Amino acid sequence: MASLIEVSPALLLLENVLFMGAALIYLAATLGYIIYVRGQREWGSFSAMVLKIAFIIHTAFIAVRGYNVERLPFVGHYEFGNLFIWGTALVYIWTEWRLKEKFYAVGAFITPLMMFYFSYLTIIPSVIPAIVVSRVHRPLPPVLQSNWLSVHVATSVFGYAGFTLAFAAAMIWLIKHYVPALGALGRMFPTHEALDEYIYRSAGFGFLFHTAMIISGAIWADISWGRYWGWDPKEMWSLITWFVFAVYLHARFTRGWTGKRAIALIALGWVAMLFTWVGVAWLLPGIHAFG
Amino acid sequence: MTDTINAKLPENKPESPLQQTLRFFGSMQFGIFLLLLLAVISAYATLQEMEQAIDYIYSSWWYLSILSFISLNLLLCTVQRIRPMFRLAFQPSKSSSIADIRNMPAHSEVPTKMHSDQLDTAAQAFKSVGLRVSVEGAGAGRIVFGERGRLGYFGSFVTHLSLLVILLGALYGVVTGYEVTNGGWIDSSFVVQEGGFEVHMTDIRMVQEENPVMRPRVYTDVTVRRGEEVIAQDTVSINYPVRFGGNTIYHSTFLLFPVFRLTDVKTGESGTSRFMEGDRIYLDAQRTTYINIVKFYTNFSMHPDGTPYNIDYRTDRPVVGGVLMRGRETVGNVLLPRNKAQVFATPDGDVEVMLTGYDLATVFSVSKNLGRPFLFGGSLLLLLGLYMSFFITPERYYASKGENDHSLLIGGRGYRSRLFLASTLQRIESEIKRREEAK
Ligand code: HEM
Repeated sequence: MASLIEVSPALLLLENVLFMGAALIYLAATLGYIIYVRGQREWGSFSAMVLKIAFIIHTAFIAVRGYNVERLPFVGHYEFGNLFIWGTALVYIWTEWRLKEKFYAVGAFITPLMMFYFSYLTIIPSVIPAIVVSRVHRPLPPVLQSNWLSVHVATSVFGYAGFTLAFAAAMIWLIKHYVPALGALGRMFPTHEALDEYIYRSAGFGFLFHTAMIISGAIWADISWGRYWGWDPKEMWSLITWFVFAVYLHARFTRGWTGKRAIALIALGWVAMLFTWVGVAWLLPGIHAFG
Repeated sequence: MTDTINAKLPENKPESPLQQTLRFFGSMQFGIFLLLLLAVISAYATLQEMEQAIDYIYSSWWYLSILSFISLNLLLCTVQRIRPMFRLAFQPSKSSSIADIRNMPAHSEVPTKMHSDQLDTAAQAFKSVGLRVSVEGAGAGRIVFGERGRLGYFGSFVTHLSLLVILLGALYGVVTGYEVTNGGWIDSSFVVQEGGFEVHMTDIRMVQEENPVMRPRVYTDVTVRRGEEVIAQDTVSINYPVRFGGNTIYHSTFLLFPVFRLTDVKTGESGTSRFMEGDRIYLDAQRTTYINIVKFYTNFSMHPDGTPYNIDYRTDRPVVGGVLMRGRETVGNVLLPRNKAQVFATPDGDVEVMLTGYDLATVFSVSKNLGRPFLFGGSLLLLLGLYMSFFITPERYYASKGENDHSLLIGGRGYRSRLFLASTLQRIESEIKRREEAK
């Protein structure tokens, strides 16, 4: 169906320009962090600044999008994907501020992941015709008209962001583990111990919000449909993601399960998370297909 | 990670087989195994049709057994760890030797002037970064001890307890509750046997959204009776259920039933009935001639190629699309707009068929779930437990005079955390230096 909410051409243009602008400046930050991590120390704080600029423009995009759809822009793959990237940037920027330049290296891994998420909103749908990420301005269908929607989406964004951050740091851990002779690269990476705790903290942060997302979804479902759990694939996959990260959090305490295996669980959890986000919508049938 | 909660047993006593069994069922390894198993089975289940998965996996005895084992595991692990956890939180090893401090994950030596109250300086520095401080030991072995984030030790305990409350709450809800789907049109009733009451729909109204491509909202006035007594009377709509005595009536969906009048052309006899999509309108006594109702368009239109479609949810042009059948043979497509009679030939003679209108029906989900308060309370507790686990990090710091009286030795350790130890230690260090310079 055609665009359902009338948006003036000027505002539509602004929305799209902000989106493209944010994506391109995020890309610039990505390149900057990669140059940094290859040994050019002076690129660290510069990239961090570029990332913040991209984040501000992205925030403006979300605000304009919200204005254009006349509601919180919290629905559908396009809006949710943007929030997800935005949340990831926010949480990363926050850790950078807390931990200072020691952890700029994580930036070189988190920003490519963010670009990967951007590709789901831009390139992937044009390559794989079965995937449709619609940008039309839709009003909210009655079932979704609830304050619980905001709580549900907001918490899910931070859950996904925490898990993405954990995965980015886990990749550094693995590279450091398997490629001992890293030269300049190695000097830019934090130690294994520091990374381990960074991963753990990010996963814990994500876990708290992911839990809050499942709970708020259950409360909302209970209010609207009379049942808090419907066993539909989206619900099940967010629960599976939760199980995997719970196993990680425990495994980290168990002798013989630390190190590589714990990192493997992070990777598995991230894959499960990604599948919950995009896989379920295109591969499994269910009632959550509001996209 | 220097501190851990271990369910320690009295030493030198061999465990009885019962103790060993309980320890196994309450162990983290067993918990990890169960969680992984659940993850794998659930992932497999989502590849099946949802109804199939619900009937044959999620409600199977073995899936429920895994959940029971998880509950047992959680119960045992919670109980077994209460004492060690309290010991860890409230009986910290407050004394440490110089060598101990040098072995801590974060430690440093701050040069000081030689005087007698170095440890007081350390204590003040500890306080200034927000630690609770005490001085332990006597003489040369005196140590300043400071800590914060003690609640963090209880995080996993609260988390596990809350999960237990949630699981048992869900079980209680399933055992004592029910869930049924039922409904009807205006002025009809249905009985909910499980709840012992009857629901009467006094009125059903459909209200179009401002934007007609949005599904309209339907409001149903219901009166609930137990025997003669009215126990509830209210309006149900989407997201606005009606609750009474632990029971809840939810709007689940609505249906529009086309209503047809059939008239025998020869005799003039006629009758009116409602139908659903998928129903057949039989036109003769032998049921050889009938119209298969394919779709009810409330606001009918046609694409240029002749395929019919519904413009939106408005009810401006109701048309029923169907297929006329004679025996097994398809005669052709029929479109039946409102108030336009069409005549069909049957073995019993001509029959006139006319769509006269439609009836609105609501479908409800009616349920009772007494587990709700436990689920809700357990969920809040779960969030609290996770917050305590991940956002309150216990840290302990120690300060002692160095070997030569010209320095202070400070060290810190955390519970599952060392990320911020070094930076806190740095703050303590500069605080000490500042105070030393002021002397
Ligand atoms: C199934 C049986 C389970 C067992 C036997 C178990 C056992 C344990 C143990 C022994 C700890 C470490 C305690 C400590 O040192 O503080 C722990 C921590 C924890 N458990 Fe469990 N657990 C189980 C299930 C769960 C589940 C289903 C969750 C929810 C996702 C969960 C969440 C946590 C959390 C959040 C922590 C703290 C982890 C951390 O601080 O990194 N547990 N668990």
